[in-house]
Amino acid sequence: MTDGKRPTQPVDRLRRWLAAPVDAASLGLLRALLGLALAAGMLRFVAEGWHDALIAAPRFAFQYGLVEAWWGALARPDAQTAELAYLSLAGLALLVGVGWWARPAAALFCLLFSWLELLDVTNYLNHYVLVSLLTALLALLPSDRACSLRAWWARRRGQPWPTTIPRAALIAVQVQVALVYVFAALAKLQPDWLVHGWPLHGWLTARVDTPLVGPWLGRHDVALVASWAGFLFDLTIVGWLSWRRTRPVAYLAVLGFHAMTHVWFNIGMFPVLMPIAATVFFAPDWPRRWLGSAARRGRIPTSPPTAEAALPGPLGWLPTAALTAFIALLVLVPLRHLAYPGDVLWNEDGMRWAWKVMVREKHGAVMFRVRFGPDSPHAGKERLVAPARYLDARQEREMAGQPDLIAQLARHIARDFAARGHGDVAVYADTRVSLNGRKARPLIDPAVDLARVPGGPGSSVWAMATPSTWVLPGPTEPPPRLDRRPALADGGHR
Amino acid sequence: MQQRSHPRQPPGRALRTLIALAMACGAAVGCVDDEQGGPAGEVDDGFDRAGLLSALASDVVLTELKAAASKAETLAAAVKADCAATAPSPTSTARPAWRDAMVQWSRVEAMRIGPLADDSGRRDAVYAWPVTNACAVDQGVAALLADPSGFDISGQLTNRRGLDALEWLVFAPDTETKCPPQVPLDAYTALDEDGRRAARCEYATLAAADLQASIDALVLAMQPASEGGGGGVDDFANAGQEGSPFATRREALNHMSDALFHLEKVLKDTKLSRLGGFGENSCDAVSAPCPEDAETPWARIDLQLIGAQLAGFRALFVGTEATGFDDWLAHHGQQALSDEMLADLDAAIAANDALGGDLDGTLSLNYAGFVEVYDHTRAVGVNLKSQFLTTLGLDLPSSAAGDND
Repeated sequence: MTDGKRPTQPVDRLRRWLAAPVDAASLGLLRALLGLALAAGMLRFVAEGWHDALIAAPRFAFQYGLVEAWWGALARPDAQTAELAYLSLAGLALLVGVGWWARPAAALFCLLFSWLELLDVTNYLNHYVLVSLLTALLALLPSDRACSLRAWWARRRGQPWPTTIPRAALIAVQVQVALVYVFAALAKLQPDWLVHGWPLHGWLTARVDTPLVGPWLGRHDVALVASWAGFLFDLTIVGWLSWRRTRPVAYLAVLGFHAMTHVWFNIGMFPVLMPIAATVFFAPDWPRRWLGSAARRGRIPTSPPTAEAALPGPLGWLPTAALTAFIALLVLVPLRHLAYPGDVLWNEDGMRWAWKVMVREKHGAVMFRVRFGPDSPHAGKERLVAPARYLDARQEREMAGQPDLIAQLARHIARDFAARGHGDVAVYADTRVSLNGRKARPLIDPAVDLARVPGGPGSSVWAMATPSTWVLPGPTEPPPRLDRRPALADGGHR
Repeated sequence: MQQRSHPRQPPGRALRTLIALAMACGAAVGCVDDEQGGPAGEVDDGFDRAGLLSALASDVVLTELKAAASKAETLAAAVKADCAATAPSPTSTARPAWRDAMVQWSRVEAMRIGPLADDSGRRDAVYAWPVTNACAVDQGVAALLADPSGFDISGQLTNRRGLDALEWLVFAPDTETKCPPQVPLDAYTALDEDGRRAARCEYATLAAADLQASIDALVLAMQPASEGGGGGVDDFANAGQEGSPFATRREALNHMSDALFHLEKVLKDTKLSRLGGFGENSCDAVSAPCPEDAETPWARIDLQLIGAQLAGFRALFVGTEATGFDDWLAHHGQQALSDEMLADLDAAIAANDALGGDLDGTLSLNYAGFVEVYDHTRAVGVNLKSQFLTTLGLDLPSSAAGDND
């Protein structure tokens, strides 16, 4: 209970704490940097021709479960429209960056970007999900109160313009960014990563021609140390960034860590996004104090934040509930793989939307067998169908390790054969997949007609959430050591 | 009321210093000369990747290309000799010469790297399959007849040139054309039998000489610059260094491994699959042969070509002394994988050899034997697409678009 003036209940105290105004500068700068980075990222997407290669050109697009169940497939743009869409995204991101109509621009960016990324599951990237979530937050939160043209314009015209935000706004972004790191750490909490140093061992071994450090990259112990370093970094970095004393060194580590990932791995915007996002753990007024420090030396003009009229009341119940639901969702969705049996790295049940960033190396070979039905002149016979009949090489690579995508293509093949007058066919898959350098083994039961497994148009949510029993058990043997040299008996030549 | 979270002195200085240090370190690393253990270094983790690239490009691919050039020279001479006879017809000596040249070229097809894999059309000038068209060749013959002095075969479409065009010219059962009536071939059809044979002979002579020139150009493009060539071999040997189109050695290794996927994508999923009726084919056959989909519809030497492509794959996989993909796998403790791939490959080669070379006889009388070739080839492809890539950290061909995470 409260006495009407002082909060006594923990929840009330928490609500007042969340409502307390903090400097908007930190969130404003994050918005500005993120917007500019995204603008550059969208232009890069077009410059690389990916609007065509990834969005428009594929003959077949893998749908997300609910989309396939409810709509069949999302409409895909042609190359010209896709290019226009990404250029529009660049424009919207620029508006977000400069802080002019930033919140509507962020909302539009979020919707358009998310639609484009939902068009094909094989385009899924964790950092694209992060972009969607962060831009949604920028749209919902008062992110344009600082470091924005809008704020500058208001000041110039002498209009009142708040320079603080409720702490809850900052907390929402902090939780979002923190969970990316923490779940990325939890994803590494498995034997392949922590005991065997995979997949880093494989990736680093392939990069032994890196200047200076190359000769060490092929060593298993180096991969193991790097794996643990990555795990500990992800697990603890939020704490180090949040603690004032360790913040400078921690941020240096952030820069170094993401610079390394940029050099060694092709992970696009991620190494840029995360150092920007990580600034959210700095003091809310850090940009103003930085600029203030420079201003005192006569370089940069600045103005202090305006004082708020009065101590605000507690955060309203609606925002409190929204924040609680948002955090609960962010926590529970990545943990859903715990409800499924088996190794998520193998069966991929709960792999997406879970910040399992770069935790497995998978390559596989898939060949579909189409068995003709009793009405066909080929009744009982089987025709082999290579995935390349429907997919490009990138899609095939992504599909080969993901059982739900293999089943989805099987359904498509069945529909395609039916449309070509072959009637009702059964579709089986012969699969062999190598996880983290292990010997390839079957991923899917070759005796199961994948055209009829749960999922697909009209499926219930429950059916889609059911564990995939047709996925065979994953490997139990450890991944290989690549630095164990063979005996030099015959030079290996034959 | 405005609340400052951390009312203290402006921070910044320590952080700015650290960031400046980081940038300085980054710049230092960025400016490191690649030769300090980078692409020019030969040590790496103990396996000589530069040696692998150099040996495969020079000792395997260039050597096979030179052999193809030699066969093309023999073919050109054979066609010329046949056509110089009293009753000119490019058949008696040209047919075995064409078979030899085609079989050798099939080995090269299994190792398409550098100028053989670029989009310059140089490979297609030698062999345009699957874009082959007997009618197009006869159109070329008609064009030659219509304008003998102005005709330039090197300016013709690729399906009027190369080994595939020569197959039609050398192995066509008669002088009839495969063109539909609406395609005008007046200059050709107006001729009598002998005239048509002579016209095809003249065209074949030009095509054979053009083939020889095309392969010679490829050899020249691959030869080291130090030997007056275009430096294709150097591009691989110096991968990661200035002047090479490969920014890193890994890029060159990926390009080299892409060539291995000819076995999976072309040989298995196209040639064997269609011919054996395992996948889609022209005959709508299911688990039954489709002889109409033969790669060599007139010469009928598909089995020899399959054998040559399997052998070409083997040559590229094994490389030279201690410098093949098999050695690279063994270096990483994956001798078992290497052995398994080679065992499957050798089983495919043996099964193909056992068929005896008679394509139509095999398909009608020994289909099971053909299925065996397919199954063993498929087994090689399965390991190639899976553990081979994960172990060596290589990428599936043409799959690099977009980012990862």
